[in-house]
Amino acid sequence: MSSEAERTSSRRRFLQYALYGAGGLCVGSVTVLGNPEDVPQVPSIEDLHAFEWGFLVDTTRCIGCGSCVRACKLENHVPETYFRTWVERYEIDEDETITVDSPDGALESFKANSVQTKKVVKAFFVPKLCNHCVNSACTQVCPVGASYHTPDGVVLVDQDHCVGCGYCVQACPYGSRYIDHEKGVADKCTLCYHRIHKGLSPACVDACPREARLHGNLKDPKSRIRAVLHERRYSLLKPDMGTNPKCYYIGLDMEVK
Amino acid sequence: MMTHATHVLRVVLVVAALGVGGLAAQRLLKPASFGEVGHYRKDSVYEIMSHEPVHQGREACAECHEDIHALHDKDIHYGVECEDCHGPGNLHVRHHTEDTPTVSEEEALMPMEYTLEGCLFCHRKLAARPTNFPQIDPTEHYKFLHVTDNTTRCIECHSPHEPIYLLAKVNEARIHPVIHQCEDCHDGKPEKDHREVEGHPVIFTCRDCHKAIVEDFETHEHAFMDCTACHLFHAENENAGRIFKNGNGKFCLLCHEKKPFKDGEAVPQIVSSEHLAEMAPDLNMTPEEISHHSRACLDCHFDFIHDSELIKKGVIVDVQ
Repeated sequence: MSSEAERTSSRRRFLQYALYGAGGLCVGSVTVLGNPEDVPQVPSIEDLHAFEWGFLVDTTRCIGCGSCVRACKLENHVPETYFRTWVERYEIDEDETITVDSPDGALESFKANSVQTKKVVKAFFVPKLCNHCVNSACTQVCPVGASYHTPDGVVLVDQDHCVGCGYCVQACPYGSRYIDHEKGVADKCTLCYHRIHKGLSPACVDACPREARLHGNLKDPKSRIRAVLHERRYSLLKPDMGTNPKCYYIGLDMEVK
Repeated sequence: MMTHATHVLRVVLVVAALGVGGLAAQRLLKPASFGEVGHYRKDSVYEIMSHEPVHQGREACAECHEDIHALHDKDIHYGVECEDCHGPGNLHVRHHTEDTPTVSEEEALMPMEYTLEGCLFCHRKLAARPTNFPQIDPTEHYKFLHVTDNTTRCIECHSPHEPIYLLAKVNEARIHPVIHQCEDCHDGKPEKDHREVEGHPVIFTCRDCHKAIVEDFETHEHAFMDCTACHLFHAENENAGRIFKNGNGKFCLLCHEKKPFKDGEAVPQIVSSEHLAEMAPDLNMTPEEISHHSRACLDCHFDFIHDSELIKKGVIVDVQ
């Protein structure tokens, strides 16, 4: 009789605890999910259509310090020997020979002139990054739909879906992509997609001490990038490829490829 | 007839099985949200968007380090972000803002330390750098400053957060001070003279070091002029920090050449061609030879500017 009573009471206690537990979970989840301050403001796909991100590089202001390269590496955890943005140096000597170099992507700037024996008649830096082309070759060749255009005109890689075949790396005429061998997937400049939608600038834009870089919404007629594009004369990298890049260059020399 | 029907039925069954299998495989293998807005996974957009920023920006730094930020913000280096030199501040900010820190103090230390290279990333002299940007060849710079120890750090003379001001005594450092314009730091001309403002950074004047020459200069006829009228300061080339003498005769003649529109009473004037012809026999040169000489006026009239004996004795810098 007593054992029967014990069993009943323990069953009752179990049900009691189970009920409390379930109630607690309900209250807890409501508190966690229902708190509006914890939920970040995420734009819907329709909201994204209000943007068309573009990038502007003023090569006449670039001093080749490599701040952008360092900031990009740290911001995006880019593995060693790969770059999402890098700075190229063009040196034209008195014999009109063109020397192009970018030692370690200009991660530690440039240590000396690369043309030492001849007189350099013209020299300049050209920072490079993904052009976020409207008709991008890289997204067209992706066999699994892992490379794509966002509704706001940024070319991204879905790393969960990418099979690492490397077609896009070969297709990009600007050499902006690489295979991250640690993850076995393609990777590239995201225009700091995680920053621009939080109201921040891409890390390289913030890091540039000379304001040689600018990003902005091309669909906004009041944006600074539109104002600068209306004021300055600009050109594109490899316009004959028909990729329709959205990275505009001010003061680009004819020799730049 | 019946046998043919079985054949057809088999084919239909196989095709149906393939179709059902295919649909099932697609349903199982196609990632969620794929194809909802395009030929990609919609969720991927939000996954990439949700990454945490690493660089915090200068406003985040200024929240705690307002004094240093204010100092840096009025320097010509205001465009250089804190994190350009100090490294990204995400862990640092997290450690100091969380109630129960998830980041250890060690991780929260700002990772980058001062290196000589740090300044030279921007200021090393390179052919490709825009010529209007200040740049130095470190070896030349040290030689010019009589610095023998090549491990001497930039910040031993240049204040790290406002490098246009020098920490060292100019005379000891042997760096020629940059001549500041008020507008370098202020918007427009300030109302007060910098000497009247308490705590204003020191602005060097010529007199601070070249006392004897400046005092002597003031006893001469040109005392009303500024030193910089003749001694040109070149701020942004390889000779940054050097003062040039303008001894060109043409420069003197800007005021002293006889012209009908000039006031003959205020400024002594000559007709240079006549004057040279007059002086030629004494100097044993033709007038053309004299005029081609780069210091055509100063060779004879040096003492009109400041005492040549003082210069010959080597009294250039006289502040201890």
